[in-house]
This record gives sequence, C-alpha cells and structure tokens, in this order.
Amino acid sequence: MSGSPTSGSARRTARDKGLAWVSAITLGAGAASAIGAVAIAAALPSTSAATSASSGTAASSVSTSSNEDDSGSTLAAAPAPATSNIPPVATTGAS
Amino acid sequence: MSTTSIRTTSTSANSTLGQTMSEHLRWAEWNAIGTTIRLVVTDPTQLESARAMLTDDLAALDLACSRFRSDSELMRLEVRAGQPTTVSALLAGAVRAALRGAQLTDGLVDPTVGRAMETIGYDRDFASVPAQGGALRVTVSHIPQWRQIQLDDSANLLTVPAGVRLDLGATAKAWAADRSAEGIARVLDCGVLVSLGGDIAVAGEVPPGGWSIRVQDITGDPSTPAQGPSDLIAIREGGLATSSTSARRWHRGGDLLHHILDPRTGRPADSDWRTVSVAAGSALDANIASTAAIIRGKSATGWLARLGLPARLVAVNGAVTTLAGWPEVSS
Repeated sequence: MSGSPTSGSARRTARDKGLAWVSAITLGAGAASAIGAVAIAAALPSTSAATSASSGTAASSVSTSSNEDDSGSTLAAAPAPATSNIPPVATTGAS
Repeated sequence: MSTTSIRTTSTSANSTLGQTMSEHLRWAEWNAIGTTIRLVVTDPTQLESARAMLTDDLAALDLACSRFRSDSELMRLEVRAGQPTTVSALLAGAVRAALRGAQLTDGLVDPTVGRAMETIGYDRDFASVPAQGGALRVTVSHIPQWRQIQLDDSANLLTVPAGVRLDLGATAKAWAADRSAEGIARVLDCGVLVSLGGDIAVAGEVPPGGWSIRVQDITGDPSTPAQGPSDLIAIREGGLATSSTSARRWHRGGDLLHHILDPRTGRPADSDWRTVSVAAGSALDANIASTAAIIRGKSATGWLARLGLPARLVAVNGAVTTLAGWPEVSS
C-alpha cells in the first residue's frame, strides 16, 4: 500500500478512531518521485494509538500508572556521580 | 592512585585482558552481541571466572532476544503470532524490561519498533548494515504499539500480535548488564563493572575512589583520549548509560539516519541532543532515561530534573548541560 501524506489532524482523527494509518514517508530529497522507489510496509508504533481505548487490545501486565510511588513505577535514581581524578576503567558513550 | 598498565595479554583475535588503574583491578574486553564488552573486577583472581559467567550470559541473551538470528527465541516466537506462548525466563525478563521502559516514558521507548527499524535499513547486525544506500519510500500500513504486547508474569506467557516485531535492543543490553553484574558479584564475592556497549552496571565491592568512568560521545578505549567533550566521573552503585546519535548511523538517499527511532513518527529522532548520559539506580533505568531524553529533545531537561536523575546532555553544537547533581567537570 502507498498513499500521499496528509494533514496531522486527519492522522490524529484516524488514530482516535482506532484505524490503521496509511501514509507515505519519503526519506531523501526527491525520492518520492524517483522511478522505481521501493514501497515498504512498515510497522509504525504510535503513542496516540497506544492510548486509544478503541483499539480493543489488552494492556500488558505492567501497570500503566506513572504516579505510583513504589520502586517499580518510576525510574530509580542513584546518588549523583562524583568528580574523579582517577584514570577511567571504562567509558560510556554511543556504541 | 597511579595508573600502571602492568600487563595486557592478548587472548584471542578480538579479546584482551589486562590490569589497569589499580593493582587490584583487572579488566577484560572483547566483542559480543554486536558491541564491545568490558568487564572489570576488584579481585584479580576472579577475572577469568567472571569473564566465563558473562560470556555465558551474553550467549544466552543473544539466543533469546536477537532480532538478527532466525534461531533466536524471539524470532521463532513469530510463528505463534497472536497466541499466548510460554517463553523462557530470560526472554520474559527482557520483554518486561522493555515494557517498563515504554510505561515509564509514555511510549517513547517502545519495543514494537522492530519493523520500522528494518524499514529504515537496520535489519541486521550493525556492522553489516551498508553505510550508503538509495532513498527509501516508506509506506506505513499498520500501527503496533507496546500496549498490544501481553506478558503474564506469573507464567512467562507472552503474546505478540501478528505483524509486530520486537526490538529489545534499546533496553536488553542495559538490563543484561545489571543482571550479570549482580550475578557475578554475588557468586564471586567481588566488585564488578559490566559495560555492554557503554551501558554500565556496577555491583559488589566498590574500589577506592569509586568506579571511574569517562563520559563521551562514543564509547572507546579508556586509555585513549576522548574525541569531543568528555567528563571523568565516579559512581559507586547502580548504572550509567549513554544514548547518542553519534554512532550507528548510515545514509539512505542523502539522509543521515541513526538507530534511535521516535515511535511517534517511525523515523530517527530529530533531537536537540546528540548525546545524553544518565546515572540511575540501574543501567536499565539509566538507559531508558537517556534514550527517552534523546527522543524528547528540549523537554528532556525538565523531565530528567523532575525525576531527579543526574544527567549530562550534549547539544548538537557540542554545548554541555548538566542536571540534578551531575558534576560540572567538562573537559
């Protein structure tokens, strides 16, 4: 399937109705009109769809509340790092 | 404390063992699960045992969770799409970790991006992804979402809808780092640092001065000077993770793509930040926060501050912002 990009409001309306959204996203300037461009069916997650009650899908067993105060319902903090003057044993960065 | 590299011994083509930083710390480094593994222990006599444990852990993780192996439990699960299936405790744990990330970020860190990731070209081990390629025209025909994943914790019963491919990569490495660090420390009764591609977990005995870690754009050899802005910090517990658009990048049709997808668009996040590092109670939570921060963009600073998570954010232009107690020591 393929289609033309349309407005954000139409997209939201479709999602609110629990409908699958069909759109074309072109990566690369001019690629939309390129002859032989490959159409790829993609699975596009949607936060909007996630909250749609009309989706009829069961929620996972994980609690959906973000306001609970037990350790499992919030990202766990730790003491702030300290400055170090010791040569590093590891690095953290993109990999 | 002096830094004396007493010995570096090559044990295989892609593996090194050595002693660094202190007479009591030993390290090993090798490649696995598509990234660089670094292991540091406080008891030199336990390095080989720790390494064996971590190697086994990672092999099991790969077999359970890889989306690049047709024989992985995750991929074999797809033939039972839509049906509740009993899965291993390992896969259940990794999925649980991923769902935790989705829940605590309102879906910004979503494990159902597997198909979207493949669509933009990341469909194999990153080392095999072509650096260049033609433009992609992407047609979206289905909208999965993390709440469609059902996991019955009591029975490790997992249901993944048809057409949904899970990508656990965003959280599984960090979760595995936590799990292995804790397991090794408990069994071998020593201090342990496990770094899986820069997702770092520490457990057990803390070395004098803490675990000294350099924070930078791209994970690398700590004995080699960093490229770009960096901080040298020490942690004593929990985890540290960095998400960045500076690595795992490729081109399609003139566009520069990267591996951090915004689930709201299905495309690589167009972030104000190129690199975000977070310290948290675990590597998993640090990873969840750093990944979500990249996707959030500008609003990440307020979000991280409200959560009280010490963080360091590097803007696209290289400017560094620190939050929630992160020491201001940029070099």
